[in-house]
Amino acid sequence: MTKRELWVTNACLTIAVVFALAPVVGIVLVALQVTSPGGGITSLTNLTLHNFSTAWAQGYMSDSLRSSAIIVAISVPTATLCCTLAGYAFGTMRWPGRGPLLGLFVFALMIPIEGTLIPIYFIWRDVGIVDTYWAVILTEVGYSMPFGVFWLSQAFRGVPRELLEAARIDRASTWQTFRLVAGPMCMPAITTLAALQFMWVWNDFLMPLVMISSQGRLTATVSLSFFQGEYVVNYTALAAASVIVALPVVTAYIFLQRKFIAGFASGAVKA
Amino acid sequence: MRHRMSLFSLTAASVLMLVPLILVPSVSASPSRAQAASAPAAQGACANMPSKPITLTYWDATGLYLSDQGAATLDKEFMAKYPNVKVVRVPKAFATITSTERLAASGPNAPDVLVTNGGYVLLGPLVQAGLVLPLNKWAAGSGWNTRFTPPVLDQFRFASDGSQWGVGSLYALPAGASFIGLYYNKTLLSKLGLQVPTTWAQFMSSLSKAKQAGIVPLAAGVQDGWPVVHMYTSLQDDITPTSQINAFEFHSAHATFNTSQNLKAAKLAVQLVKDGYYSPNFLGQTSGAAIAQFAAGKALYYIQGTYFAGPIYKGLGNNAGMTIVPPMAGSPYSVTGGPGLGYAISSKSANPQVAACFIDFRTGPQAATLYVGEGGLPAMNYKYTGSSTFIKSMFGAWARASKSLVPYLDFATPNLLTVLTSEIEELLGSKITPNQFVQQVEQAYTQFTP
Amino acid sequence: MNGEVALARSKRRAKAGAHGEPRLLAFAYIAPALLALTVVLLVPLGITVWLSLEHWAGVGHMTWAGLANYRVLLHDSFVNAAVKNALRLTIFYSVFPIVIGFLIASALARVNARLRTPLRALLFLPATIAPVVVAVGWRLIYTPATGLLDQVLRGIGLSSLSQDWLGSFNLALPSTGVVATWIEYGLVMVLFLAGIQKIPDELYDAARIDGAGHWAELWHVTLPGLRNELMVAIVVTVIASFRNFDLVYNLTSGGPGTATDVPVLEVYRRAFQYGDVGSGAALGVTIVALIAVITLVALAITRRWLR
Repeated sequence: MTKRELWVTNACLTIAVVFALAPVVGIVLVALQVTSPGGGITSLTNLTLHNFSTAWAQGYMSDSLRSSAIIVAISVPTATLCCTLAGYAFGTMRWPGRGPLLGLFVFALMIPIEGTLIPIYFIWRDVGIVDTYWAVILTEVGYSMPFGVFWLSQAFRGVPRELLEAARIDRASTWQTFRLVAGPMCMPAITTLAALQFMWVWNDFLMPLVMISSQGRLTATVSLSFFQGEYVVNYTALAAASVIVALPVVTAYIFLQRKFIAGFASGAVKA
Repeated sequence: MRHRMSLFSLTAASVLMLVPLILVPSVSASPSRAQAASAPAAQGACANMPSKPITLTYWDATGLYLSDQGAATLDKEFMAKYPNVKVVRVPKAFATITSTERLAASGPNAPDVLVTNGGYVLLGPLVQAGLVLPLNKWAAGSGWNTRFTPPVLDQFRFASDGSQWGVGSLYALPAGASFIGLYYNKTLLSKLGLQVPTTWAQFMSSLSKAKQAGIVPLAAGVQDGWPVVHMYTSLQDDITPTSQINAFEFHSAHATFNTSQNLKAAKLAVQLVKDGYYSPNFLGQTSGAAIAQFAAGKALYYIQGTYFAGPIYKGLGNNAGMTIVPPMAGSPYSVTGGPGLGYAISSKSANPQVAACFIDFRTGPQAATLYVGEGGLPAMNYKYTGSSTFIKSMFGAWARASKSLVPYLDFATPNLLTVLTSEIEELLGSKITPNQFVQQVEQAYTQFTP
Repeated sequence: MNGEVALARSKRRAKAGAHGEPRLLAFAYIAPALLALTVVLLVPLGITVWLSLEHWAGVGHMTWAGLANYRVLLHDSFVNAAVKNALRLTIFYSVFPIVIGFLIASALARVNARLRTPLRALLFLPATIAPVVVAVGWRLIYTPATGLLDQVLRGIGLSSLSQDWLGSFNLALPSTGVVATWIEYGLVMVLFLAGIQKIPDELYDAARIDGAGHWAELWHVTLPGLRNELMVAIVVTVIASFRNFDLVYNLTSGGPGTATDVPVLEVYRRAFQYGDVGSGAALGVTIVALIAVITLVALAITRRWLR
C-alpha cells in the first residue's frame, strides 16, 4: 500500500468511526448531564448518574425490563431448540420433499411482518392470550424460524458425512447422533443463532406494541416509546432510559461481537 | 356477504388441511344486548349495596388523569367504605386502549368498569355492540344530572344503535375535564405594561408588543403531532358558534367542514405564523419543549389544554394564569374541551350496581378534591376554595368555557386526528392553501359515516 | 459378511432413506419449527390477503369488499405520500449503505488483522442498538437550536447550517434517511468484508502487475468478486427500507404533514387505530408486492451490471 493509499484508508476509517460513535457518545453524555434544558450537553466534566435512577423510577423500568427478560428467557431457547432440531434434520437427513420444505423456510425469509401482523393479533385475541407474554413469545418463536432453520441447516450440512456414518455403524440412534456428534459440532452456529435471536427479540417494537397494553407488562422498548411520549420533557432521563434499554444487547454484543458479526456476515435476516 | 369469523378456528383448520381458507361459524365476539333499564325511579347508585365479597376490576388510562398514587388512594378510600369490595385497577397506556378495549369488553374476562372517551372510535362501537349499560337508572337518584353541566354529559350520550353521538342515553361519567385556554405569564404582561386580554383586539396588540420586545408571544411545539390541532381549533372556536361545531362533531344533517368560519380561521392561522408570533422551530420541537419554554418564563402566552397545567404551575406558580382565548367582538364563540375519559359499566359485569357506586365515588366531590390537589380540573361542578390564584383563574376560565363547550374536533371521525394533524401542519407550513385545507378536511370528513 | 445379508441391509437402507433413518423421524424433528412457521407466518400471510378483501372493524361482522379497499388506497393522499417516501427512503436504506459499506469494508480489508477486529466491532455497533432507542436518541440529537447536532454545528462555527431538522417539510425525510443509513451500513460492511476476504490474492496480484491503482482495483477486482454479497445486501436493505415502523413512529410519527409517512405506519393506523382492518390488510399486501418487485428489479439491474 502506498503512503497515499494508507492516508486515504485511515481518513476513511476515522470518519466512519466518528460517524458511528459520535451519536452514541453524545446520548450517553446527555444521560450523564446534571441538567440539560435544551437536550444538549451543558458540561463535559460535571456529570452525574442520578438520571439513571430517575429514568428507572419514572419509566417503570423494573417492570418493563422484567417483561422483556421473561419474553427473551422463554422465546430464545424455545426458538433455538426448534431451529436446531429442524436444522439437524434438514442438514443431515435426506427424504422426499426435503428440498421444497427447506425452500419454504427460505421463502418465508422474504415475508415482511406487515403481511402477517394483523391476522396474528386477531388469532391470539381469539385464543385469549392477547395482553399476555405468550402472545409475544409465540410470535417471536415463529418469526425466528425462517432464518434460524436456514442458518442451522447450513451448519449441520457442514458436519462431515464420515462422522455421521461412523455413528450409524456404532448403532447410534438419530437422537444420539444429534446429541453426541452433530450437535456439539454445530454449537458455535447454535450459540450464534441464540445471540442473534436475543438481540432481535429484545429490540422488537411493533409486535409487542400491538400485543401488550397493560402498564405492568409492557416491554422495555414499548415502555421507552411511551416514556418519550409523556408531556413533561426530561431530556436527561430520556437519554438515560435509552441507554438502559439498549444496554443488555450492547453488552452481549461487546462480549460476543464475533458471533454477532459472523451471523450477519451470512446475511442474517429476521422475519 | 356477512359472516362472523373466529380466526383461531380458521388457523387450526388451515394448519390441519394446509388449505388457507375455510369459513367456520364463529365462537368469538357474540355480544349480548344490554338489558333495558326498567328499575324503579330515583334509585341512588350506592343504595342497598350487596354485602357479599365482590371483586371489581376497572380499566384506567395512565398519564391522563390521576397519578398512580392518587388512584391508589381513592381505591383505598372506596374499599374502606365498602370492605367487602376488592377494587382492582388495570392501568393501560391510552394509545393502546383504543385498539384493545372493544375486544376485551366482548371477551370472557371483561372488566366491570371500562374507560372510554366520547365519539365514534370507542364509545360508539361499545354502545352499538351492547357492551356498556345505560346509566339512566341511577342518574336521577344519584344527582348525576346536576353534578355536571349538560355539555359535559352530552359527550357521553349515544343513540342506542350507535348511530349518533350526543343524544340518547348516558353511558359514562367523567372524573376529569379539560379545555383549551390561554395561559399567560403575569410578570411578562406587567413588564410589557399590559393587562390580561379580554378582547381579541387587545390580544392581537399584546402579541405584536411582545414580539417587538423580543419575547416569544405564543409558545408552540408540535413535533409530537396532536398538539398542532389546537393551533387551529383555538382560532376556529373563537369565531364559530357552538351549534356549527356540534353539528360537525355529532354528524347532524347538513354538517360540513366547508364553512366561511373555518376558512377564515385557516387564513388567520397562517397569518399568525407569518407574523412570527409562534416559537421559532415550532414544527420541530415537541409540546414538552414548548411547555418548558413557557414554564421558564420565556414566552408570554401558551394556548393549550388544562392537562398541561401541572408542569406550568410547577414552573411559574402563581405567576401564571389562565383565561379563555378572547372572543372577537360581536362574534359567537366556542371553547374546545370537555370531559376526559369516562367510566362506563360493562354489560357483562356481574355487579353492575357496585360498579355504578364506584363510578359515583370516582366522579364525585371526594375524588375531585384529590384531583384538584394534583393540579387537575374535575369534570363535576366544583367550587375551588384554595388560595392559589393560578388555580382560581383556571376554574374561572372553566366556568366561562363550560357554557360554550364543544368536543375536541378530532372526535368527529376515527381518523380525523391523523388527518387534522397532517393537514394543519401543512397549512401552517404553507404547503397547502387555506382553501385546500378546508377542502381536504371536508373530504376526509365525508368519507366516514357513523 | 456374506452377500445376501449385505444386499438385504442395503435394500433396507434404501427404503428407509439415504442415511438409514425412517422418514417419519425426520418430520418429527422438523415438526415444531414447521408448526411455528405455519401458524405465525404462512397462514397469517394468507389471511391477510383474504382480510384485504373484507370490510372489518376488528370486532363484529365482516362484509365483503372485493377490491374496494385497494381502490380506496389508490386515491388516499396519505398512502400515496407514504409510498413515495418509501421509494425515496430506499436510497438511504439501500444505496447509501451499500456504497458506504463497500468503501469501509475495502478500507478495513487493508488494515492489519489486530486492528481490524476492534474497528469492525465499533463500526457495527449502530446496527445492534434497538431501532426505538436509535429513534429516541436521534430525536434528541435533532432537537432544534439546543439539540446535540445544532450544538456541534455552533461549536465548529457552522451555526448558519442549523436547521429545524425534523420540523422542516424538506429536511424531515432526509434527516430520517440519515438515521436509516447510520443503522444499515454496518450490516453491508460486514457482508462485504467477509466477501472480500474470500477474494483470492492472485486476482489482486494480477491487477497490480497490470498497473492498476487503488480505485481500479476496487472497480475491477473487488466489486465483481462481491457479486453474491451485493445481491444479498440489496435484498436485505430493500426489505429493511419497508420495515421502518420503529424508526418513523418514534422519530417523527410520519410528520410534519406527510413528509415522513411510510406504508407500514399507515398499515398500523388503519388496522389498529381507525378500526379499518380491511384497508390495513390491503396495504400490507401491497407492501409485500412492492418489496418483491423492487427487489427483483434491483437484482436484475445488478446482475446485468456485474456481467
